[in-house]
Amino acid sequence: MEGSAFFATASRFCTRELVQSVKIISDNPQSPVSGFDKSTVSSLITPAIPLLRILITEMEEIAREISPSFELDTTFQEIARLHSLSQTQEYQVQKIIRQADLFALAHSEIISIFSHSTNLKSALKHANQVLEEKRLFP
Amino acid sequence: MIDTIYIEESIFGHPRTKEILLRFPKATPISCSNYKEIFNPSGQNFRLQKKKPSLILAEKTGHLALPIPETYGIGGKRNFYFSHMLNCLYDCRYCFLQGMYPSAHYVLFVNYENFLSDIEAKTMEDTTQPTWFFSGYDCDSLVLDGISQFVKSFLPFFKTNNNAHLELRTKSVNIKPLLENEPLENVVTAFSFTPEEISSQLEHGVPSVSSRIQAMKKLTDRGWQVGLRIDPLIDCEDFSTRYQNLFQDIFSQIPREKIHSVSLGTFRMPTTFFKKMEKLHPQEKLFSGRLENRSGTVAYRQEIERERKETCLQLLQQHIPAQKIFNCEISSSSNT
Repeated sequence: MEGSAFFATASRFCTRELVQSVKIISDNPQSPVSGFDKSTVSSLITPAIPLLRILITEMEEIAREISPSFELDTTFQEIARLHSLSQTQEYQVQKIIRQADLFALAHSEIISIFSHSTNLKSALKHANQVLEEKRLFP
Repeated sequence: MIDTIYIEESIFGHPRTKEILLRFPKATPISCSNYKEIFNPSGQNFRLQKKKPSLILAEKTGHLALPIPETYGIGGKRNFYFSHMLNCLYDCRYCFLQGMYPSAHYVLFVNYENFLSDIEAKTMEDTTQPTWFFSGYDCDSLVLDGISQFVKSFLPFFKTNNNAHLELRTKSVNIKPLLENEPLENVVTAFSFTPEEISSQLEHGVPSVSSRIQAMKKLTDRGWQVGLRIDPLIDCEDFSTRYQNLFQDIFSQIPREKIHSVSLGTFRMPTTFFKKMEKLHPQEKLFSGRLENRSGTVAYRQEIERERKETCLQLLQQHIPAQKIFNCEISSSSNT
């Protein structure tokens, strides 16, 4: 099938549920391709466009639901500019930012902790201490 | 409810497949050679699939009844679990299924006759003591009974094999299939609970605590035995008060002699499952709790775990003898 390569490639970049292939069938045994008139393509596709728009809108909404927040990423980039981070530290910082956001702690407060600490280790420790009080499930 | 049904080619002609397909005349049937083609591929998103799961009808092969983790029993020495279904209608944030399975589609293994043969064989291995079979590890035993007809299909075996004991584990109030039968001494319907304040935040789609207690009451009024599964225990605000109220609500309505067993287990999860769940629901406060990683398992810090469990034990013992209370240790990972 002509869609399989598209599907296999697209699935490497996002979750499978967000990869959809819409096929427009131009011919079948009753209407062979030899009798197909290219000029009818637009008139076949145009009526389907409103439906496709609905599909696209819904898929965009679903994609937003699982996309990382832009604000969290901005905070992370700011901290990454202040400290050089290993892979593990990146994970730790991202976790702290996410949890701070979850517990309604201002992003500026987290950035301030990382900018005022002498090193990353003490910044992580301090941030965790701040978050500790809020960890109890409501 | 179900728009798409995948069917393994080998069970197209199975009577249960035909029955189920008749129940969903509008669903699109799609054939496959093995359910794993649909269920197992990587890159699926459990959270998105949960919005509209498909049904997969398949045949279970290999070992059908498997030993349970050693610390999971409720008094018996020979314990097995079996899964006629994978996944659940409910969407509990703490559920290990979302960390274990790549897909949220429901898989229903229609070859009940093979499950029953294996259950019979396991029972006959030792007739000197009861053999327990737990049915709600990888699914809820009752919630999709309207589709699976599980109770109707399995109860007759347990009616004639007193040495085989069955636990149906559920959060459902779908007890009709049980009420249609006379109570069996060797069948326990075990209801899982967290306090309402927690349930409303974490157990999406699950009936309220009070309606589950009512379902338990109806069963016990008719002579059925029930179990309580306080698992997972969730470390939370007002912990003692919330759990005290929960136990008070339950034990004030359910006669204690009809309560077969109570099991207790704190929230625990294999680290790999936990990481996946955290990624699926980054906005979930449960995953940012007072947790730690202990040799491949994420659990509450030991002192918190010990204190919370002890509190619950003391609260429970105000209502029920200690011999009926069973502790689910950290080495395991199942919670309904």
